[in-house]
Amino acid sequence: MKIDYKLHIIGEKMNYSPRKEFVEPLINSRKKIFEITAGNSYGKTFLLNLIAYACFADELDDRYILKSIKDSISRYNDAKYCELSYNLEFDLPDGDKLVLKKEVSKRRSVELKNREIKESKELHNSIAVLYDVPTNPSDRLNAVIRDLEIWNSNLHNKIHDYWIHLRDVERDFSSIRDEIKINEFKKLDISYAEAIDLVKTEISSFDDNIKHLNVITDLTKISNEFKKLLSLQVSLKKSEGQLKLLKKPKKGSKKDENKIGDLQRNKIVRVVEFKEILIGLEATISKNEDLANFIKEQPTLNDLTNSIVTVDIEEIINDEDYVKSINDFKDQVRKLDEEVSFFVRKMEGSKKYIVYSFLKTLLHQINDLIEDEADGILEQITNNNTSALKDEIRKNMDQNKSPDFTEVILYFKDLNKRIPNLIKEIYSLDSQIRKESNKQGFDEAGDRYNGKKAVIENYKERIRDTNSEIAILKNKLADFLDIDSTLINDLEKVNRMLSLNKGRFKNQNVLTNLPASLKENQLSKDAKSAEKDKIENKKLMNLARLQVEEGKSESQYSEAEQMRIKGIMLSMQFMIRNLGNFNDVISSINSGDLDRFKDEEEKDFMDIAGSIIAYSMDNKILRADGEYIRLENYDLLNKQFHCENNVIIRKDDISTGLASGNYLRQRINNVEGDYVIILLDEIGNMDRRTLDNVIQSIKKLDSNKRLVLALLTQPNSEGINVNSF
Amino acid sequence: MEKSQEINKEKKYRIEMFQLLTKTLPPLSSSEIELLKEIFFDEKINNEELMKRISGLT
Repeated sequence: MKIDYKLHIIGEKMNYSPRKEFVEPLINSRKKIFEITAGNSYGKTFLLNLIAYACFADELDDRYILKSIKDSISRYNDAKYCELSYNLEFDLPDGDKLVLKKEVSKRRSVELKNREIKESKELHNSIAVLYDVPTNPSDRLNAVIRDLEIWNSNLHNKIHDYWIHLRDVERDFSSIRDEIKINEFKKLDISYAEAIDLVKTEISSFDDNIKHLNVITDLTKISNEFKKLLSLQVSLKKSEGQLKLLKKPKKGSKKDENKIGDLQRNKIVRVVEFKEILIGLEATISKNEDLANFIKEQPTLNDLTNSIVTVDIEEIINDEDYVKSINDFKDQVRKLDEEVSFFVRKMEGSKKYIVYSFLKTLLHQINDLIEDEADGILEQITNNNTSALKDEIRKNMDQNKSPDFTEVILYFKDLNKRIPNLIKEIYSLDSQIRKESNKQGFDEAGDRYNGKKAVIENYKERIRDTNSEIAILKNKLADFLDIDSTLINDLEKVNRMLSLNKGRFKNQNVLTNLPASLKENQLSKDAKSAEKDKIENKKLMNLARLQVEEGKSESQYSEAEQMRIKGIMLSMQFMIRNLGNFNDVISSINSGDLDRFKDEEEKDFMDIAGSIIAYSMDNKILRADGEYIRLENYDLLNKQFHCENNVIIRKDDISTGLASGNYLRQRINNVEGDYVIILLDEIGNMDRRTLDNVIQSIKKLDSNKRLVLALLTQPNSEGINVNSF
Repeated sequence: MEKSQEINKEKKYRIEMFQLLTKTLPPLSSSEIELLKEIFFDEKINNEELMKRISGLT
């Protein structure tokens, strides 16, 4: 052992160095435990401070050393306070050395087993410094409690560190290939593919419908044109026969004949138009079953309708009182219009019709939204797919099926506008023909001949137009169907094909209004195409996610292991929380505010903590008679020791010396570190028996080859005395 | 800085503390409880060892 130092206190202008009579008994002894009693100014406390300072005890956590001691040591760091140099050397129990040195204005150095130690923590892991002044007995129990807090905190920190490690491992799970996700993505890919196939089939079905509805539309047009052609051909033949029976008038000038011919042809065009409008009346009525029945069930109205449809315009305009005849006819048309309007208003007032009409308008508006690609808002509001919504509306429309009078209303509007004009024009042209004929000297027979000739010309012209129209329609359809046009070159063949195509539709209702059905199918197809696009996008997104997941590296932990890690983490979280709560309990022990802890776990903890405190005090308390009594438990709530035979000692009643002894013994018994230096100042409040017990504990360290040095000091006014043990 | 020299006696209190700490945990398998005990009592178990223990759980 070597102890040498120089201390210059700047303010005091004093120098201190070791006094021989004090230091030599130490350095010349082979013992390690010394009890020093000496008067003031021998430097006993300074020696303890110096060794503690040289061992960096000022850098120990507050939990391990009294703050007052720490402050006392720290002052040697203040260059304005003192200049300090020292050279200390201690023998370790295994023969190695601990060398502590410092020169003035230089840093402290530590050499342990010939190796320089740079960090105080590293030093404290090997050399534990227990420096205490056992003067305040109430601090002692507090220190035991503090030790309990340290133990609890260490446990808390240890488990928390493990938890942090597991959390870092868990974080990697997200960047690790997840087979479950991969399987889900693959399943989704298949389900998207199936959904796309399904929608494609539906689109194909709508395409098929559209194709056949277009074919039916074209075939219907061709069929009507063929019927019209046949009708015209029959009329032409009939008129040509009639012409042969008429007397040919003498020839006038070519110019005049042409003029009359032009007038005749113009008149015929309008007469034909007049007749077609009336044929249209018949068709419009017969298309609407309710209206047809309404008319049929009223004989007067039925006769009126027949009278209008079969009217001969020539008779009206050639009547002697043609003004009356024309007005009578107009009255008939007006009367029929009134009757039909009355019927339509009545029908449109029914609840069923109102519902049907509303749904029809709604469907129309939804279709408009789809056309504008704005049906998303409808899906958002109704929380329903547009296509499904339309299906539901159609279903309800079928249940409330009501006749559609739109066509009837439009027809009568057109009838009222065109018929009076046509009558006026026909009458005017007829008058001009008569005038020109008179001018040319044609008699009535001549007029009839010229009139018939004009009719024949009109038929021929219309037959040409009709043939031309048929040819265009036939070629267009043959091209579309990629068939030979001869397959549809007569009415019978066209009707057969028409019937075949109509037969494809299970619901024949769709054929009643071909343009509406075509539009409906087109919109449905567009909606399905949009749906297909959406699913295809989703499929692509899913595929991208799948590729990302498949691109990740395989996990070093199996799925089961990941689950276990998460399970252990959860358990650790609970333990960390409990340990945190226990720390709250411990830190509240001295404030006495323990009543607030109501949880069973916290009360249990207080019991266990009491047991641990008792255990830390070696389950023994020194009584005033010098005998030990067995300590069972410390009651944290009531601050009292529960001992054997139901003896209860209040904390405040324990004598100071006994408390110090108890405390020091438990600290010495539990000190960590490979080697231990014990520095105890002011031990005077302990009696001999108590002090001997403390020394016994220190001897136990010595016999375990852990003790480097133990210095115990107390004041003595009668010189110096050093006892070694 | 405290460490008991009387391991068995201290262990008794540590076991009591462990039982108290684990009282409120979700249901655990016996191997999981054993692992937590090892973590609780063995101060030298390192992270690598911890992962091995977790992997070996049943």
